[in-house]
Amino acid sequence: MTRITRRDAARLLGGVLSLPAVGAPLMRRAFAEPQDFKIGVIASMTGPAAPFFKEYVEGFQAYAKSWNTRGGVNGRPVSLNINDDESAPAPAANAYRRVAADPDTTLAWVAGPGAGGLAIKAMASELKLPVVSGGAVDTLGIPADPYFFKIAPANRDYMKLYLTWCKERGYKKLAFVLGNDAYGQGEAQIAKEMTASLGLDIAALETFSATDSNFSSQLVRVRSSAPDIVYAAGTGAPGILIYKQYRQLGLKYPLCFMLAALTSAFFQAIGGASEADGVMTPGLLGMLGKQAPGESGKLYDQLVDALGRPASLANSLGWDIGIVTETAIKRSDVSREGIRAALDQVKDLPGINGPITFTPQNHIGQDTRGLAMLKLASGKFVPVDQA
Amino acid sequence: MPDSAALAQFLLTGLTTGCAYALVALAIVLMFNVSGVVNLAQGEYGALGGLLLASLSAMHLPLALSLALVIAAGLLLGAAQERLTIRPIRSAPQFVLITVTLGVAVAIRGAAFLIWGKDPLNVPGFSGDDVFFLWGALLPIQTIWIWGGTAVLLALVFVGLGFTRIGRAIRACSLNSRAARLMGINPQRMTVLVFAAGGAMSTLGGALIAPLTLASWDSGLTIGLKGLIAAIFGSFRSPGLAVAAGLAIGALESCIAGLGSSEAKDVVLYLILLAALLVMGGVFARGRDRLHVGTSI
Amino acid sequence: MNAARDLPAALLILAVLVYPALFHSGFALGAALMVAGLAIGAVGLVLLLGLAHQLAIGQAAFYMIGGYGSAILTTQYGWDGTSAMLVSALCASAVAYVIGGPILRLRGFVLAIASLALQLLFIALAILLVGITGGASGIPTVPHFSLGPWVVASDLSYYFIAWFLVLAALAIGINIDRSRVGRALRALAADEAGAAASGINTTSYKVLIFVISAAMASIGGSLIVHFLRVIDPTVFGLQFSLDIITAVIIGGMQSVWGGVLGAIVIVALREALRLLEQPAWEVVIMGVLTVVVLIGFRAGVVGAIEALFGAWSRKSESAPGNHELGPAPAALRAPTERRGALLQVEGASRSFGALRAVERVSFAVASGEIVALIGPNGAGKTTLLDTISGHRAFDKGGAVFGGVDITRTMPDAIARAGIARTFQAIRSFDNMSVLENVMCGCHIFSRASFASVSLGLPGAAEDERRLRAVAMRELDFVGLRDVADLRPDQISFGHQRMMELARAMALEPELLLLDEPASGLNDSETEVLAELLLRIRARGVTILLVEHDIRLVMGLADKVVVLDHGEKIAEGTADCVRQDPQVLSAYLGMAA
Repeated sequence: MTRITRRDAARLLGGVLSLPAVGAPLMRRAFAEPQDFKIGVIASMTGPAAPFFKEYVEGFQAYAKSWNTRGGVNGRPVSLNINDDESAPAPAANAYRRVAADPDTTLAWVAGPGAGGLAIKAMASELKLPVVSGGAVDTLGIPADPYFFKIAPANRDYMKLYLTWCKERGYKKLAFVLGNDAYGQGEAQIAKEMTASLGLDIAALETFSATDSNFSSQLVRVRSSAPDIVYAAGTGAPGILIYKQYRQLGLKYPLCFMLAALTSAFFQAIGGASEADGVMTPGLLGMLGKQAPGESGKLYDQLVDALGRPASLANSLGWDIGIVTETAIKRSDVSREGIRAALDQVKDLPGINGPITFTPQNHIGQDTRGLAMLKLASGKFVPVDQA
Repeated sequence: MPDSAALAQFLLTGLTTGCAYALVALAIVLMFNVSGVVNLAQGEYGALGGLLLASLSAMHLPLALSLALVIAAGLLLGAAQERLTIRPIRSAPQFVLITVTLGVAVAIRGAAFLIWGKDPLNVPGFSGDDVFFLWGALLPIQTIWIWGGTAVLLALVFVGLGFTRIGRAIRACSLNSRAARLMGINPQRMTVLVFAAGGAMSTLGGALIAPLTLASWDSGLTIGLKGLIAAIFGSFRSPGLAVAAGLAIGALESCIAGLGSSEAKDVVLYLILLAALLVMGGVFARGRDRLHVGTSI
Repeated sequence: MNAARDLPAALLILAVLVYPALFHSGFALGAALMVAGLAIGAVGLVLLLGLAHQLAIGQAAFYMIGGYGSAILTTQYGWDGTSAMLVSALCASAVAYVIGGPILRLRGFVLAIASLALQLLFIALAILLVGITGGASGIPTVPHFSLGPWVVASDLSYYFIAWFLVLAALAIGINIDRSRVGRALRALAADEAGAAASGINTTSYKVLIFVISAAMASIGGSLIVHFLRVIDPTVFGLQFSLDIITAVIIGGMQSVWGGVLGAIVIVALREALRLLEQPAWEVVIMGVLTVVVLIGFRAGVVGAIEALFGAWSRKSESAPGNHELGPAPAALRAPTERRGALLQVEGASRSFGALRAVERVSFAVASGEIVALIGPNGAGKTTLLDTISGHRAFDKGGAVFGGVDITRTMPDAIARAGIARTFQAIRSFDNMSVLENVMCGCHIFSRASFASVSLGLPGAAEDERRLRAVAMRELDFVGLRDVADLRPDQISFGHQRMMELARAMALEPELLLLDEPASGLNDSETEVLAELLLRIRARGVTILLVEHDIRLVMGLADKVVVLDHGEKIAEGTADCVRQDPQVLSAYLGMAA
């Protein structure tokens, strides 16, 4: 056993004690600047969901920038306080507590996987800090929590679009490869319900975990089920590997991918977006960019201006959250309670991904009006029927 | 009932993953026998190998040079781990030595996260991304590299252990390091040698498999844990058994996922491990010599 | 009451009371609640890792049992938080008992991997069993903690409940650390064979402490879940397991205080990095700190504070050199009437591979005798002794002690039956004082239940006093009273031998097995030893000794048994054996 001298001990203690000591002034700085209009952002900056939701945050930042050129909130500049939820619910809930505990924060923006949103929703009525969230999980918006609002269509809407489209096309035997995370388990549930009611068959329903790297078992079972079309989900590494191994195994069935999987990291890893030509996705209008019909295309242009480059889907969803927030704040007294009440009254407000509507019973902001079946052609999303 | 092509597919892709487990397991067993340390950081070397190769191939270095650099990095890191974290506390109780390797694992993970970030990195196949047929199974060309590389490494290790002077010295150390010292063998030198070799083996294993699995900062945990499980099945004594167990775990995982349900894969694997340990503890530990009175020499 | 001992506890209580007044934001209370949840499990891990030297990587598995148990019982069955917490802790203990029993018989590091596998199994199950656990989305509607009908809705009240539980865990940990249980754990950590020779059932103590640490972890899990109000498979993931281990190591694993201090450091580090907007550094810093502390500073933060401020630990409990002997305590072991041979060895055989160490040896030891087992090097004397004491198994043949067959009895049970032993290479417990070493010897006479020990009830204190008195009696008997408070590595080799003898005598054995007690002693020390052996016999203890020193043997032994190449070649009185031609040739042969 090494003998400890007093000097060593003092050094170790000093080191350990200085950690909070360094933190304290920073804490003060973080809570200074009360003149800003502070929005607490809770987003997946790390973890498996990060590739998608970091782009959401880029959309937030772009929106805040353009909002500030319009003078912000009554002359107060909008500032974003970004908290990482590590793609997991507990840190998300914790971050929400932290944000809600800051009296200068009037609103939270949430961009993370469904489970984190649900954890925040469970506490929203208690902590009474209004939240505008992204995410596709139905239960985020219905039953509606008075303080928790969700833009973007729900899982149910995507699946509805996909399955009705399959039925129209005459695809009857469907295969699914889904993650065993909250998102995937939700999708599986919905797929089972809806295929039954539409008279379609599930030929194979395979699952995988986020740490898997070998998907041949699942894909071989998909192959032996001889489906008409395959729907695969999975963000980050699994999404990429499923796609590569699907191609390597020579599976030729039409392939539909979950929207959130198709990030720039995905395209980079498979060797460029054009490598994924022919892949379909039940997508949002935001993915059509300028080609999106009506209001969507115009709003998209504003996003591109603020961002300084072509925007991704998650960028556009972040932007839609900005749109609905700014509108609600304009119609409110800029208090937590007032903003909440104003959000409840938003009706048919144009967003990139379809019109946004909240009612006290339904806090899913957008619906199938913002969706279209898309296909990748020459590295770009186009409506599937155009190709 | 799955056809034979499907079965071949499960087995062969499983064996491919198993190669990475086997190399880690082999390194763990060798290190344990020579130094008495169970290296919990071994899986992280695998992750590092993949990440390094991803960076090197992004710089368009020739493959041979890249692989040589990966091996060199493994040698250096392994030796550094031994010199910096094992040798200074050589006489500490065994659980301290093991806990230190856990700390090293965490540090490597954290460093990999800082350096390479969280996004998985793509590594191109050594001979392109084509596929070939074997017994009805479709396999990427990279599979050949993995099998070949693993086979060459295993052959080198077993021939080296069996027929070279250093190999005999290593075996002597693992049997009885005091007796080995009396015979003029320096166990410390053997320990650093084994750590370096183990490090290189694992980084190369990680680099070989990276084109199939992508290189990711957090992949070390899975590889390391499966390698440790394989080492347990080899009783931490037999390198051959550990390698076989590593390959078997890879094949088993893949077959459970393919024949049973992919959801139950992890549950089944860990249940088998726990059940095996319970049986080993319940049955084999009945003998009274478990309380080591100490070997007399 | 001892001021130096109670000061840290007083300071901690004060800090717990003052903290919410200084930092009343929800954020600060939240951080303190996370510390509390982590600290309870860390205290449990100190007992397991620091005392018993058993590394469990997957302690978060038991947090999962607590967390999911509380979440499921409160949301789906409407239980109150307290009952759910207690029942979950019982479940965690049961799981630890079932897997700990077999696994803790195996080598130490197997537990590390098995516990990690258990955690990963639980995570996989939590994802799979959607109907019960909510699958990957978990259970997002966990209610506030409740004590019966009282719902603890405010974070401040919950903060006090959480820290009350931390203090309770700390108190239990301290009580265990200072009790016979703590000594038994330290003993088996230092030397399992030595601990078993003192009658300590090493496996059952390891299992006991594993079960306790699991219960503590489970309570920590329940606490955290009622704070987060959500549980899902990632809450108690691998990172959480690493948090617990890192907390214990940085805090200092040799003291239960290390668990609490380490938890504070870990959470402070995390929050500081968050404020610095550098959360990515957390993992690498934790890893490097673990390595640095283990290599250079194994006592951690607690050790650093001790070195700075002096007395704060179990070392300071008893003022050195002030052990009142008082009236010598009466014998604790009930006397038994013996007739005929006390120990009967019949056809004992044991081989190691091709080497036949002991081959069909039979002899008897009568009550009250001193019997010497002699023979040249490698004759199988020590192996024979090891088989009698249960440390090695017989291949064939066996032993009967006081009419009871002990052939297949475990060493600790043999010790409890009344056979004490010493070892050729001294097996002292270097992690405790000489006095505590000897107190391990009378471990088996402890009557206080585990409950009264861990709660620090008066019965346990009385028990400690009794054991201390017995140990002092034995130290006095061998003449080591003055070094009672030193550590074995601080006293001379001769004294260490005496200490081991005192430890064996503290067992109040009927039969004492001594393995070369004179080896390494100088002439005057050997004389003291010879006189001591006679005094031991005078106390009615039978002695079987293996010895090299022929002069010592010849002067003392009533009977001599001579072994050569594993076989008995002669038996009889010293004079008789001395003239045996076979014995002469064996010894001459060795000399040649």
